[in-house]
Amino acid sequence: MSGVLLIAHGLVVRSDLPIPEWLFGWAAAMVLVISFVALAVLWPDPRLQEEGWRPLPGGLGRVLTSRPVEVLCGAVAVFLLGLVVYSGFEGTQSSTANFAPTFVYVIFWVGLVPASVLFGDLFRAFNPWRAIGRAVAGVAQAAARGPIPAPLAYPERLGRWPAAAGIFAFATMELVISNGSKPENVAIAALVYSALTFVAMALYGVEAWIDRGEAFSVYFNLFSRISPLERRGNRIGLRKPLSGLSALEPLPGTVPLVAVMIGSVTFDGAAEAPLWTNLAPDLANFFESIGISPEHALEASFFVGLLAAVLVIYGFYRLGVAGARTVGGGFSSRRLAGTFAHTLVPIALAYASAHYLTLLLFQGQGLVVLHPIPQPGFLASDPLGNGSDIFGTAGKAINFGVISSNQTWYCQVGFVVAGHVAGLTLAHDRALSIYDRAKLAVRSQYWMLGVMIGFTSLALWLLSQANT
Amino acid sequence: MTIVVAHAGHWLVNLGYFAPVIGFLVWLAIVQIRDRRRGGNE
Repeated sequence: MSGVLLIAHGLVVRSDLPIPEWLFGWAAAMVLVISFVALAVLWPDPRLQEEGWRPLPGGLGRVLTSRPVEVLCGAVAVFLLGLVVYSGFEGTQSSTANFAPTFVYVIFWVGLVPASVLFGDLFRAFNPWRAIGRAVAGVAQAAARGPIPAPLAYPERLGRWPAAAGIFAFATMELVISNGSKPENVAIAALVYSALTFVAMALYGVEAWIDRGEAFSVYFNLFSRISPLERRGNRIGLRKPLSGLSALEPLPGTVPLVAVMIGSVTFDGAAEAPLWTNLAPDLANFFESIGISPEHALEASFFVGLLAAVLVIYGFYRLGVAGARTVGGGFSSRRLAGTFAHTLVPIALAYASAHYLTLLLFQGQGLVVLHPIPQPGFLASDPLGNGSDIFGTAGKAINFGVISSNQTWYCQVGFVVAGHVAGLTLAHDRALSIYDRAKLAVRSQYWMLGVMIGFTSLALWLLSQANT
Repeated sequence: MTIVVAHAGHWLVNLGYFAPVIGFLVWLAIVQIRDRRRGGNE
């Protein structure tokens, strides 16, 4: 429903593909089946359960993890958070001419995903709430001239549930609330989220909350586990790609979190399909008939749609798990669901990358232009939309020619297939490590293959709906 | 019914995307039934 997002989603017009779009779905399914057979034959032992981390040679890792660099990254992050709040309140209330919505919904939410996959957990260094929390704790410790009271122990049963709730709330703001991209509302949301985060950090400690409860830290950390780069202590090292996901602790709330990640993108795509555009008015009419105002009735219908999409994704995964359980091995459904939860992360990456590719490439130019030479975009020059021209680029327009519609489609299909093959590989590797017989491991993966083919078909159908 | 048939081109294309899922489920069902029969015979 947000204005910023609608602009990018309406641009994919494909005219001269060599085969019908739905045949790409068949080809993708074939790739998955071939990958499955190849894994069964060529991958007889678990290889991703050990990360094999080795520190990078030279002193680069020590420099990047040094105290001054850490303080600098934290300061940049706090400045950007401050700029979001300031421009949201003081700038123009046009969502496309104000820094806040584009920064939050495009650069932060979408752009940090590939950055995390390429460079590891960048957001941990650039997390403004962590930087403020650590600074406040340091000051409090100095003022108290000794150790400050220890925080409460983080409740085990909470697991990643607060992060799942936080990401769902963000998706609601982005996709459900009719003025979710209005700069003032973005600023208010940033302040409310900051306040909640500070309270939680005060209760449970900065690092405990960042590791498990803070929605964006957990969200970007999941994607960073795909990366071969990982920081350990004051060293940065290389590990096997994807192996960071195998090391993911199956805490409570992990599957719902990933279901929210995939389900929210699913709903964003489905919201453009005739299936939804025909259904939404009827749902809104129902909410109006029970006394809800027309504006809120439409929001309520979108909320129901978002929730349904998350539940469908969750249900489909649990169906695959229930099927895998029937092959034996003596595992409970809950244990299997947690054990294979990490295999959904590359799928979440595939969905996000494919769906938001044009949003990042087009709207992202508002802040950063990469072609022909890297330079700040028009929103960096005029963040408040009040006519300033800090970098002399305020007059720049978005170049919609950076990628053609067909190139976009090929990239999207490539992302979807690669993400699902990665998920299949992780699932195969995990199955080999938990089943005592290789035959059982492979048979259990028939069901995961079904899940992957289902998610692939859904992803390509959703992408095809962008221009229906 | 008339409306559904008139718009068949639209929903048949949509169905095309999910044909691999349907095909896979059919194959999985056959494998399951075959395995159960083998289990019963053993």
